[in-house]
Amino acid sequence: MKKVLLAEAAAVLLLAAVMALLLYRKTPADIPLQDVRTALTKNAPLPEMEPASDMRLKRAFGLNASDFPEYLYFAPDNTMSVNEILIIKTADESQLQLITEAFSKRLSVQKKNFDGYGTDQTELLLHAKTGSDGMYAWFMVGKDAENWLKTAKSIWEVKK
Amino acid sequence: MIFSSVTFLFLFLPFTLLLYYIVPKKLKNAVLLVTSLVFYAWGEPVYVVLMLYSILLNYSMGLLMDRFPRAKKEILGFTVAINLLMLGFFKYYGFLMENINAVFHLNLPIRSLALPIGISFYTFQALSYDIDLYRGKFPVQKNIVKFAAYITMFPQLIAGPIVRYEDVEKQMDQRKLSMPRFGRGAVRFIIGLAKKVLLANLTGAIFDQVHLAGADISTLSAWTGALAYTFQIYFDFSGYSDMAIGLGDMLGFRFMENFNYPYAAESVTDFWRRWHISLGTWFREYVYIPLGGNRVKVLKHIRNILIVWMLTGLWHGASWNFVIWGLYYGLLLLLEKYVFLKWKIPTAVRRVFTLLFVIIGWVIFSSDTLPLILTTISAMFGFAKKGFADGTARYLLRSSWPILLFAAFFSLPILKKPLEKMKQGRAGVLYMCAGYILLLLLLSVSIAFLVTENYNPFLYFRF
Repeated sequence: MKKVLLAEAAAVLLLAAVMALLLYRKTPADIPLQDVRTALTKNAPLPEMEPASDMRLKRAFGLNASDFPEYLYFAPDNTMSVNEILIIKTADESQLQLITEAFSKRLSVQKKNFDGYGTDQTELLLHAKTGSDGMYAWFMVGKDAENWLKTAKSIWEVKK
Repeated sequence: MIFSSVTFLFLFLPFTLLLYYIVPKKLKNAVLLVTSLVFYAWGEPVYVVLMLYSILLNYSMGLLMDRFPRAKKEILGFTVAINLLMLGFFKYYGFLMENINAVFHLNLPIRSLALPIGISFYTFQALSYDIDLYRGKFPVQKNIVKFAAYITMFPQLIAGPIVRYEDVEKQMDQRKLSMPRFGRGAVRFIIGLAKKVLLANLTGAIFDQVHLAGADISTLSAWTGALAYTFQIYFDFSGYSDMAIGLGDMLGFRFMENFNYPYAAESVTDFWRRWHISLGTWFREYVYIPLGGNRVKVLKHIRNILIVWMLTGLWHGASWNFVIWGLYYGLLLLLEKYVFLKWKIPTAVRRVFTLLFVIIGWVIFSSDTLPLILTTISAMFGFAKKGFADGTARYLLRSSWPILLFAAFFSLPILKKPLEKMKQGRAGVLYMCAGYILLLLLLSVSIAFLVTENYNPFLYFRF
């Protein structure tokens, strides 16, 4: 019986360690994306972009808005613009891989669209910011993409 | 990783099958384990740790039960408690805290936790091992690789069927691989893929259009949306189960059937014998029968049914609509047992009413909030904000009726016999050739859809 108790105690301790590992890794906070939207548009309107609908998200990325708890999407406001900001809050981390695939596909389609004549656009696409952190995934194209990403991260990043 | 993705179909599956078939017999479980871990980690690297813990816990507690038979009841209690604690914490913690905050007007901080994918499925599988080992149904599994391969087996890891250890115990040691079996598995996999990509995704797109409108819908839209979701969830989940069973066959395993044309059911009881059979079996074996089943007095039986169905609802997710959905079925089953089954109702009428109740059930299941459930059901029965039919409804119906009709056709057992003949190889040569050409066509069209569609999550992943 002593051995059983010891084994059970070891199982509890190990569980505590696993939980601690999972809960105290550096993870972003669950914040409403409206906060990010406000921060991004606080100083000036986003250049050559407009807020876009679920339908547009589907057309551009093949993603269903209803699959995600929240998303924020500014699409190009004219055919010659490649500026774009998409941030998705995922329901669970398993969605990230497929979202990443959707981002790569969008990027390669856009590169193909502007290849050969839109040198500025191609340059911006080459420096696109895509990635993920915890439950968030982002796709940003534009001269200020790096700053937009910094702004967004400053809202959701919480150091544990 | 999901089955209906280009990465799985063209990279993971061919590589896994090749490796699995070329390694010697004694290494097959190890290959299955390693590839399953890669499959799981692809989308959810961090939570592999939790799954490994679950494996270690259930394996070692099994060994302890075997070594100390006099303490096995206590060991089982401990193991079940830890398993449920893990499941409860990751799945229900946020829901519990939200409700505590709402009821007691508190503002306790809620840490948002990502749901480890497949946790409901693999925890139930592990529990089936622990409980049946305690009951002495099979000897303890001393080989950790075999045990881990059982828990992690990639074909059914993420969305079932929930394979009980009892059903695969012998197959973990000995399973037959043969070309006819591989072929059968491949056919089943292609059928599942086509169900998911061609029927579930297309009916899902119809449902999404209605869902986007929220409460602002007409009666016709509400019915179109409800029907579309009814077909989407069936083809999505049964498609996944077909793919899982097919993959199992390819790897030499025989998994239990999870669906049997549920929309042809003659009663709600019959529906649940045909829908998500592995979950129903699990709850019957490990909750309903231990509570006394139906061999008790009426009041206790009512209690047992309501407990089982509330748990079934909760198993699907930490949200009130799932609890309501579970209790809705509990009440329907009680009404059926104590009232309706005593009436003589023609079979056709029973089928229609069963389907109606099931469709209403899916409205509850698919609506995030109580007001949305009520407005959608009211809209379906004539109390719609936009009247009987608005422009959106007419457009939806005009553009989607062929898909809905196809979905209805394939959800009923009309092609069951010809397909069975084909599976058993009893059909004529011409018939078989036509069948295989159709399968190749289905595979090609499904892949074409997959390449153009980026995101194809299975509905049951979130459970």
